[in-house]
Amino acid sequence: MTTIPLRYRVPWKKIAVYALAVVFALYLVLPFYWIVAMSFMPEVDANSVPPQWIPQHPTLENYTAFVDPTGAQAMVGSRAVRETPFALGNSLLVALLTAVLNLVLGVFAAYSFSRIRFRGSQVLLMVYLLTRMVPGIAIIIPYYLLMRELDLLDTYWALILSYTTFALPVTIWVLKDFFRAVPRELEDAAKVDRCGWFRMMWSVVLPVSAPGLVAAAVFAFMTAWNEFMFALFLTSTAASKTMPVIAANFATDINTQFTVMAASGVLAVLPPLVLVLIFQRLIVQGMAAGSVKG
Amino acid sequence: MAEVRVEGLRKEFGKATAVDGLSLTVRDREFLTLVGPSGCGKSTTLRMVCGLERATAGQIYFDDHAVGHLPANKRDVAMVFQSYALYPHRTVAQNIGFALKMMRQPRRTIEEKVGRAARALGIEDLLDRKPRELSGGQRQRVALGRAIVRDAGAYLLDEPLSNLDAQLRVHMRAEIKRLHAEVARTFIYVTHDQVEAMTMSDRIAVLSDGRLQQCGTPEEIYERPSNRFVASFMGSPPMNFLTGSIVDEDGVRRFRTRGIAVDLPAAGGESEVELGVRPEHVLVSPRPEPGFLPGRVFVAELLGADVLVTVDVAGELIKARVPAPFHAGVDSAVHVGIDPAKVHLFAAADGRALTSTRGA
Repeated sequence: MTTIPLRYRVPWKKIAVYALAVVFALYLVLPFYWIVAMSFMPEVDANSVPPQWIPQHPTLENYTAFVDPTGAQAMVGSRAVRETPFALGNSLLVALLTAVLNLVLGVFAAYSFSRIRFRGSQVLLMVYLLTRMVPGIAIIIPYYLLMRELDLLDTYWALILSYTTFALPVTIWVLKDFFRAVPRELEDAAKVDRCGWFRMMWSVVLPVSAPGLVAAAVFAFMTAWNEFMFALFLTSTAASKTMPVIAANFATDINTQFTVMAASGVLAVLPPLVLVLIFQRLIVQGMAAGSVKG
Repeated sequence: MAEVRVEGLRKEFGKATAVDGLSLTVRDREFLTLVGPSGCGKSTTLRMVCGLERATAGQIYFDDHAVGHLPANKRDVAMVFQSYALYPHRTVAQNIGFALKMMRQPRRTIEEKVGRAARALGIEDLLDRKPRELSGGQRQRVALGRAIVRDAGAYLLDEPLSNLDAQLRVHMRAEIKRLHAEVARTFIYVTHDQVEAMTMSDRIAVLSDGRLQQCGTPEEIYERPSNRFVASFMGSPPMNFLTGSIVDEDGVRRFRTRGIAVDLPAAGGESEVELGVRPEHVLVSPRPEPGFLPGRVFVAELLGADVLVTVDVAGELIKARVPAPFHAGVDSAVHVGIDPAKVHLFAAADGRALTSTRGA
């Protein structure tokens, strides 16, 4: 009887893959970590060489600067500092309203595409997608003129309307597939159970499609939250300026105070982070499980 | 409480005609089954009665009220779907009570009715579960509960048992029949399974190609099928058919095909016919007997109490259902007797029944 000796092989391939993954993770995480760490440092520590990876003299002064600017902070980058709280509010409002408007319009459009067969529906879907291919810079002047004619410059609505046109095609594409996955018999059951169309949508179709709704809403929210160029053109005062515009202001003022800028960056990341954490369960969960035989 | 009547019902999908001029009355509190092969239009008919599908032509009446123009949520119907179609995000109790909630019944009433329906179906301890936490049989019960909790005029069931395993199906079959007796409402049941149709129904409507072939009690359908299709579709194992002609020999009317001859008692006009006989009306004997035909055992299958014997008679395979035990082996010589009083004759041209053994 012969036995085949079990030879241990060094899993080079695996090691390489993991090493690359670690490098990539560091590449993504380190800059973010550096922003967070720096936001808790005094300006002097932030500029020290070698860099302090862990803040030696942790402080909250960079955060309190936004509500109660003192000394140096009041001098340098003062306008950006003063406008940050307003900008956060503006960003939040614009992003939330963009998300909501997107869902309302997207639900109607996507349901039509998923359930009604009409001439040109495929072409129309393609056209929607094509609008995403146009670079923003190419249409920003017409947009500016349009908003000026509508008297919407320097208002939330200029941004909300613009961002909705960016996000709506994606919303429709995402929701269309979610609605298609809703079993027809579920809708039939709702009708037999005495639901009109709106009631059926509200009580059955939308809850079952919740993961899609959340995904679409998060996407629209992030689109609005991160957008810089349109916000720069269409806004001019604290009445409607959003965080990305303010963040740029930090760098353009006479003297850049990096720690305060880092703190503003952390503040800008918090709302979307909280949003995703809240809805994470819904995004992951497959809601349609168990409705029909499976 | 409602009598459901459809008149000249027709449904076209593009160029295809799914239901072709169907007229039918379902009596109040009756259990009527629409049965037929896939694509015969039975589900489409049910969906039109329900209001989920709009008829191309014809009218539907609930107790003499025309309802053809009403959508499903305005008709007084409850339905059980083949796939159950439970609301995945709602608990069992919420699933069952959903329609009542939509009808704005008070919460106490809803809880009470849901409790009663759940008890009737033996699912009281599942009320807080979500559908994905239930087995197939339990989901089936919830789907039934969602219907019986309603106080609807008609209860429509679209192949509710077809997704269950064989054992559970037999069990639920009996439960649904019992349920019908208890709630005493009009049930319209759709199935492709003729056994379900036979066992559960007060009356059966057999459909084929969108047309009503025959409507009657299970006994009528089984013993006096109105045409060859009904005769072949209803009954398991299915009826034997022999194609041949009727000849007059020595004053005796006789059915003849190749090596087979069967004497006939009753009169019938046609000469080219199909003779049908159910397996339980075919006798098999090891010895030659008067009027019996010689043949060979092709295969014998034990069904339990009975044996299904397939005999090769002059090239025709004839199935006989005989009591067990049956000991003749494959290819052994046997003799087959066809009871002339129990044969069915169908016109070869169009399949309509010519005579019926028990005086149609």
